[in-house]
Amino acid sequence: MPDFFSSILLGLQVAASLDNLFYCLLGVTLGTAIGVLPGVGPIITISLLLPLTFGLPPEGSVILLAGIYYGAAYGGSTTSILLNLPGEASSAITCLDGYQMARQGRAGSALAIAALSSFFAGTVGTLLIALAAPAMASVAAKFGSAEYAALVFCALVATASIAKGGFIKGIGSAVLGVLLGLAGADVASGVFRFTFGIAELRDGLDFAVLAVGLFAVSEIITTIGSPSSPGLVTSKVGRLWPSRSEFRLAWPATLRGTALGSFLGILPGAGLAMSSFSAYMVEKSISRTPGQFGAGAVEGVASPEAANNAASQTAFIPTLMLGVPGSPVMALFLGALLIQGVNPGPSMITNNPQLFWGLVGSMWIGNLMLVILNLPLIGLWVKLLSVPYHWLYLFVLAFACVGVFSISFSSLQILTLVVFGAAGYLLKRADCSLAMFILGFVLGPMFEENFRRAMSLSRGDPMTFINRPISLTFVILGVAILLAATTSFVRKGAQEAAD
Amino acid sequence: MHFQADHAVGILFVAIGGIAVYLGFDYGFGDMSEMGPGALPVLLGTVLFLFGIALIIQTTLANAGSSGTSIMPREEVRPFLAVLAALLAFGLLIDHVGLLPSVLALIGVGWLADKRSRLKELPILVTAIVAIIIGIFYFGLGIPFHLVDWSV
Repeated sequence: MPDFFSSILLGLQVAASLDNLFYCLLGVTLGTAIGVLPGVGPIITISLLLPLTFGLPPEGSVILLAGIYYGAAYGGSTTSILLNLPGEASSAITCLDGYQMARQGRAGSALAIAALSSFFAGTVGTLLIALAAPAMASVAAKFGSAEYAALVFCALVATASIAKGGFIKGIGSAVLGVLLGLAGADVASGVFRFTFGIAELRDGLDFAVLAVGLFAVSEIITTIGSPSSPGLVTSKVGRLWPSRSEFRLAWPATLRGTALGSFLGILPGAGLAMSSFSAYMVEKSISRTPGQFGAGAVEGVASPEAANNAASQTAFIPTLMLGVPGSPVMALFLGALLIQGVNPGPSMITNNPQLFWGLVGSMWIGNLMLVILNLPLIGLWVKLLSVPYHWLYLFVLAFACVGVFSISFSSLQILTLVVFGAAGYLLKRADCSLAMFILGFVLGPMFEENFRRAMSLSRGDPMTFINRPISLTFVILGVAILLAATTSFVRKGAQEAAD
Repeated sequence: MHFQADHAVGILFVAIGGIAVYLGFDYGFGDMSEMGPGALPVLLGTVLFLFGIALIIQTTLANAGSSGTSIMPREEVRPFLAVLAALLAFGLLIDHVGLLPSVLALIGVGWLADKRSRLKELPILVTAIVAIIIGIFYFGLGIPFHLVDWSV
């Protein structure tokens, strides 16, 4: 226990250094400012701002990135409540009742409830990371190559089973991503793969360029094409502080949402979207006035927001301790860590305590900053919302382009951006999951390395994945999901053919 | 039966899977205990190939008799072309003229993407965007761009 407190203290010390406080503040402000733009969710916000973090020292860049992440999530709930326009699946639930509250002139209390319940959940989530991470690290230390390869397999299959566009396209997108992730020099043999004679590709494709092209550029194209720009429900936010009766409804819902979200966040794949959805369902089923849901129920905002935020905290546990992200946002985060030369994994706490605990500390400070800075600033964000989209997209485009160029001053990166912008748009229109693609891309090299090492350690015997209990668990889980997903898929196909 | 968007995806999976297998053998598969650089491309390429075929069959069965779908809605053709052309213009110019003219070209071409744009708004918009971009990247982050550079 004293260990725990001294670690937390170390974290707060690192996070509270003047530089890092500044990065944290910059992160939450930029994250909110970009995340609040209509249709721009955390994934796009993080990919857009990723290039900004590359020039900083590892601690600063990780803290900046975490700040951006929270800011973007907060901005997302703001647009859900005020515009009925979720930036990502996990905040879609907040629209249901948050938007109704805004229409009834209770936008201010909806925003405050969302912010306060998120803050509470964030605090609990941060404490859970601090408590669970060392324990998780000792489990992770037992992982060998076979376990890691099996875990990646399981995580990809689990995520694909709930992917947009169905399982086959989901897993296919992930495999595409893995193959692309292998591009460049093979670490073991030095052979150049998929470089097609282009010297710049020998180091592999740049992760940030890929993310900006796939997510931001394709999103700009589809949003411009949509018939009308989203309109603001109301420019009047109203009273910010929730009433006493709203508080009474909100706090138990927040507690339930936090508990549910903390648990679901650790699971690979399912995490975020499922957490807010199931929190909403739980609230609705135990409520004495279920009819209120969908018509501005306070619990319908408090609980999913808490669940969402708790899950997005605990999702850091597998990402940081195993190096296996459970969601596309975490994949972006992991990609950024790898670029900084930080190798997440069980040794991170012992080798790099400053960085690890500094990140944990800044998570909490970031959450706090959001509440104390952004609630009063809500008027400013609302103004940002009223900027027409045909102005905004030009700014976002210029920002993306200059950001990408600033990574390595190479115009080839911009051409790569064009290619992946086009590919991202077409894949999105064909209903393929871009999230699966980026997850595959980030996990690909790790999967290959561990798979090959496991096979060579076992002298070519694939039974190594089955003979080891932890690995076996992941394999069974993965295969079970694979079978369930493909058989339901075949059944659905046969049914549709019969109709 | 008409051509569906999912057919295109299936063909894409089959094609890329096939290429990955072909190139993978070229890079060298190695053997089971000493996997070469081509092993994963071969294995994953095969998986992708099979999933592509499964998708094509499934789509054909499920959509017998229905009409085809197009991947790109007509109202998105213009933004698609203009946005990509804007990025391309930036990429082609940046090595030769410096940051400022490239950003101007980017905004100018990108501006064509949205038919709601009005010409009289453009000057203010350009000034504002350029000011913010230069402010963040050049002054804020101190990235040493050549703002204007006609020399190369």
